Amino acid sequence: MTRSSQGGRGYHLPPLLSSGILPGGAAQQQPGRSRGRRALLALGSVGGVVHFRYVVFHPFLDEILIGRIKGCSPEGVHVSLGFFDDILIPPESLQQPAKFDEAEQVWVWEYETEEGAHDLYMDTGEEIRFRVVDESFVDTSPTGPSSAEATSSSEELPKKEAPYTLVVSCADAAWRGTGWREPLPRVLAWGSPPGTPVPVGVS
Amino acid sequence: MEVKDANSALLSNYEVFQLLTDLKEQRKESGKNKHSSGQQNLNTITYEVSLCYWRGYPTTTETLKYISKTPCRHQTPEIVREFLTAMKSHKLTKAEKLQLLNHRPMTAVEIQLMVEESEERLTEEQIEALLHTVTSILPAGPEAEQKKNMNDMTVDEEDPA
Repeated sequence: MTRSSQGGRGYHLPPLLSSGILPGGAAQQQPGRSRGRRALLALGSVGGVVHFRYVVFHPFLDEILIGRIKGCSPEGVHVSLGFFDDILIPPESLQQPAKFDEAEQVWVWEYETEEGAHDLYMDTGEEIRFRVVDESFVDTSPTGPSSAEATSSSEELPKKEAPYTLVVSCADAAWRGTGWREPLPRVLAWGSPPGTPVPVGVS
Repeated sequence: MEVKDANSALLSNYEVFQLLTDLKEQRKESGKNKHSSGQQNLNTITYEVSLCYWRGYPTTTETLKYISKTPCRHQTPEIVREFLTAMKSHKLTKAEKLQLLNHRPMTAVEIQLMVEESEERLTEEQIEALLHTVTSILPAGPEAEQKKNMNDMTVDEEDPA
């Protein structure tokens, strides 16, 4: 689920410095030895080109992950991994039939057996296994000065958006550490319920 | 900033775990050493650089916390190498092998989730063989160990019918 990329977003490795760093002090001017890179001229600082590698959390499509239910809302079930929690299971990707219990604010799977329907609750804190179905990147870089002024002059605060969110499904992958037993997920694993997105073939 | 390679490698949980653990150690160390002024300057720089890049510190501790609870906790480079060698005969994609390494599935159901079109590509015997390879080479994760200790009397065998 993690990838290494040259320049990107996510966790940072200490940079592999490609130009010399000298302890703070007078300006460092070395035009002859700059190897084509320009050094910043300022008291007590040196600049140069830095190459580095980022380690980023970026699961691939269809990857299976295990997280904890953070809560439910009419939008779906919110899941967290601890270090990342912009994960949503939309209602159509829950095991069906599912209904939202307004009173308890929780999503419920109405599991049918010969004996009748059992209600299985997506309770906060429960572990859940899910499959990554979609992701979205939103550019949340700060806007330029003119638009920032316009925003601050109006009363509202700009809506805070997560730069990276995952849309996931537990229709075929769901498993909960406690309470649910193996036979239940097995019923689903043999064939995805109608409406489940078909996984793209992995080469 | 220029992105030179957006996807230079897929890392396993174990590799990330190692990286974060090493960085955590480094961070501790750079706080300790106070030798020559040269060393001190280097430490200051290392520390300040690490400070800029460790704004994400809570993220790092959370990630370490998450990964420590997965089966990668007890893995070593030798185990990973042995696992990948053993996987060659099963003809799985890189992504599938990565998931098996990260999750250490113990049941046929989990294998079917992680392996694309497993009903067509693997027979029951092959799934069993795969499970055997996975569970014998990869050490159990901390949570699996805990569960095993609690459920020792009541574990029932998964029937792959």
